[in-house]
Amino acid sequence: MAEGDPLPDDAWVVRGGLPPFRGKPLHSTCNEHPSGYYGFSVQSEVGFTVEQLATECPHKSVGYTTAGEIRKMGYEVRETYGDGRHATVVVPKPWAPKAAEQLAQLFRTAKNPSPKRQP
Amino acid sequence: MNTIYADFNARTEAGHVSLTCAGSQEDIRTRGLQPGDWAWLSDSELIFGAKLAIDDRYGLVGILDWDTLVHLDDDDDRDPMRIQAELRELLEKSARSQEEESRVFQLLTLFEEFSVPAARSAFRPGYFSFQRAGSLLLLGKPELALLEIDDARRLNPGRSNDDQLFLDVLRHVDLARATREAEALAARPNAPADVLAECVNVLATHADSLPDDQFEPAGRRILEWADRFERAPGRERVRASTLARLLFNKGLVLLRLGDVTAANRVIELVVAIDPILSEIEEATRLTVYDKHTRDLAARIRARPTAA
Repeated sequence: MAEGDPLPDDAWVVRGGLPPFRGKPLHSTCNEHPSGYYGFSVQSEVGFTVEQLATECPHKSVGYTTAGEIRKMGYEVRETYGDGRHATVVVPKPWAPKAAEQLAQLFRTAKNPSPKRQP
Repeated sequence: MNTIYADFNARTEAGHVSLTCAGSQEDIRTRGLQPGDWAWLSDSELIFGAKLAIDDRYGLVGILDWDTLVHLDDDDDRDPMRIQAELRELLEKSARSQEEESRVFQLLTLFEEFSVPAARSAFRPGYFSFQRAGSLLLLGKPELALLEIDDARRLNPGRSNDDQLFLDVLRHVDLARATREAEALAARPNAPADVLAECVNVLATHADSLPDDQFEPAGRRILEWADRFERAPGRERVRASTLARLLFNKGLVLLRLGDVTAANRVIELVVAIDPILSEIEEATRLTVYDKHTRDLAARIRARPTAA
């Protein structure tokens, strides 16, 4: 996979934190990634399990779903550079808070078996 | 603890956290933070101390200090009664390891987060910030300690212990500013003894780097403050380590001013007051103020007063 490529439907998508991420709603965590995509950060890579992707997150809990489920809601998941297996869930700019809340509901909760530690 | 929002999922290849999302930008604007500043970052599940910087590709980022990570998302660390019991046990220890000091810092933060307001109100305003500042200084995080002691002084102005720790922290972060603040605090007619002792420590640290022809006025001022210390409010309550440090500084000034007999007499008192400072024994035999003496003084002053 190369920078900017869309992740296939069966790729797991993991975001550190407890879904549905009420501490800070997803729409206010969006930014313009240097690769040009606007959206929020996740960990995703073909062939990686949820547990493997979660180890890149320092949180004790993570939210997970698949690229396919995100795509069904009308969004794209693209590989973008960053720490670990960084990817971006690409959303429209501006993104309505209600739409962000709906997407957040898609993420299921998992305990992080091995939160990222001091590099 | 004042935090700014950060999305810890948005990390650069170097592991820094991007601070360009709307949530972060709003907080940063409100607080007037700039690259080079230190801040507490949080997403309400994690807290990290971080230094703000500009990354050529990502723009504003936070360089995380992982030693200061606090997990607010750990189910095992949410019971305020357990947190308080563990904290009390650690605070009652006369000396703590680095790991224990780190845990003290975490527990203070967890208790503040998870205890009910009635439980927190049993502590004076600024208590948690003050304690965190002391722990952070002992952990070698003076810039983050400064954030906390600034908070403590804002929440409870005029408390001498806060002013003393403020000067100690600032001495490690910005000696020039610490010297100005020490001058201002010592200028107060009723400056408490513990604050004057720290003013002496700051000015003595500053004076150390002055050439001989500029030292005398600073030295005389240190001796004047040391004399005021003896008559200052709260003199009878100062800790042995504070008194020892004051006399050590006074002794070194006398030595540099050429009064070797008086210097040795004063430093011998330090040995009797606080033998924990192992280097002091050596200081009683000093006869000249040379590089060796300077190095010895630097070693002793490098220790936080809170230690």
